[in-house]
Amino acid sequence: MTGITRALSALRDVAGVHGSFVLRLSGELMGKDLPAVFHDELFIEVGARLSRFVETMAADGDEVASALLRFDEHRLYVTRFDHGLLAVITGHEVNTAALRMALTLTTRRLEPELVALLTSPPPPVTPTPSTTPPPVSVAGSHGVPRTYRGRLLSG
Amino acid sequence: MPLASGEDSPNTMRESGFRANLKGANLADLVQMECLSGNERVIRISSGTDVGYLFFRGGQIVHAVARRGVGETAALEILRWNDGTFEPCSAAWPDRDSIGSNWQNLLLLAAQHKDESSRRNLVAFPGARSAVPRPSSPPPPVVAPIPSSMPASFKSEASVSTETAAPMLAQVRAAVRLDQNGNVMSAKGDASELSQVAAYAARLAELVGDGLGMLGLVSVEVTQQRSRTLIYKEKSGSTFALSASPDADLSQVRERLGL
Repeated sequence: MTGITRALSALRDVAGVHGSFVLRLSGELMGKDLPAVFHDELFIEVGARLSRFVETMAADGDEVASALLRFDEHRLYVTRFDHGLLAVITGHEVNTAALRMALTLTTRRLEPELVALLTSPPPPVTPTPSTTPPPVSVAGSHGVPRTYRGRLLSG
Repeated sequence: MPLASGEDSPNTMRESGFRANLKGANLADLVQMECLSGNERVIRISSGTDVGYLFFRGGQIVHAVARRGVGETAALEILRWNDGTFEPCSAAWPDRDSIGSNWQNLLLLAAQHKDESSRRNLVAFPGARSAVPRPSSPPPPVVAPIPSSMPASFKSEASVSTETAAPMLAQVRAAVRLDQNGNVMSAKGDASELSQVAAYAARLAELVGDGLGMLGLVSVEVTQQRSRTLIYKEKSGSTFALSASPDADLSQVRERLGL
């Protein structure tokens, strides 16, 4: 279990929370604590749209702090923090005060995890064998006579 | 078919049930009572020489007939009457429902119309201050009056009629109602940007919900640094949106919208 998933799982302590996920501000999925039916590919579109939603609401420069999307049977709480968006799926029966507190703690824990992910150096690149033949050296290569204006050079 | 003043519908019969006098009471109580019961019933309402009919089915007002026409217009006309009597009756049901808005919206709209008509009765004497203090800066342009879904407390300052609504008024900056195609049906304040934002944000919220298996977007509430935005999807497909100051207490609005 990654640090992000561990942080998200704490939200389930609040009754009524079905699961949660965290996105980069640009919409890429960074982690989730949801049933397996919510596969990662799902979040390619969901993440991009949620990101656009936040961007739309902040179109006039008025940054979004949080949002609540109410559906017939569910709610989606979205909290924006410095490096991402935390989204929590709940039913209508949820203790909002407890959830608010849990969100504050969770974003506090997520922040360093995301920063570490975003700033960590890329993994070392292992050299891969080249498929193209090495370039043929012309001058000075061993076994190849050196010439100048058609004349063979000695030494 | 619209009714002339004092004219009775030819297709109606008195049905068994209590008759009531509405003086001092509110027609909203009747509507709530009928809608909560969920019964299929036609109520004949008389006020002075006016007669109207409200058709209830499945917890909603689905049809109305009054002097000025049928449908929502008629329902609103009836709901603005201050006193009268009502009784159940057997009127001919229409082939098709003429009202799509839910009953809460109709009551809110009727309340707004009442407020606005009382505002028109106010006369400011030359040189005297009007009864309601006007803001020093000119008011934002009004595209059209909000005809529906607009909670009664969202009137311009000049139309404030209740003390309880007063604190809310200063906090609402703009409001807009859009049809299914995003056309502005009505707006208050500078709602040009709000209408675009609300239309697109509501669509994105619907798609996000679809992706996650959450159907039926009801509302979106966004807290921003300098404002709060509430977007409400009506069952008819219309979208109502308002923008308020960040410290606005939207609990009253949520309550009115059943959120």
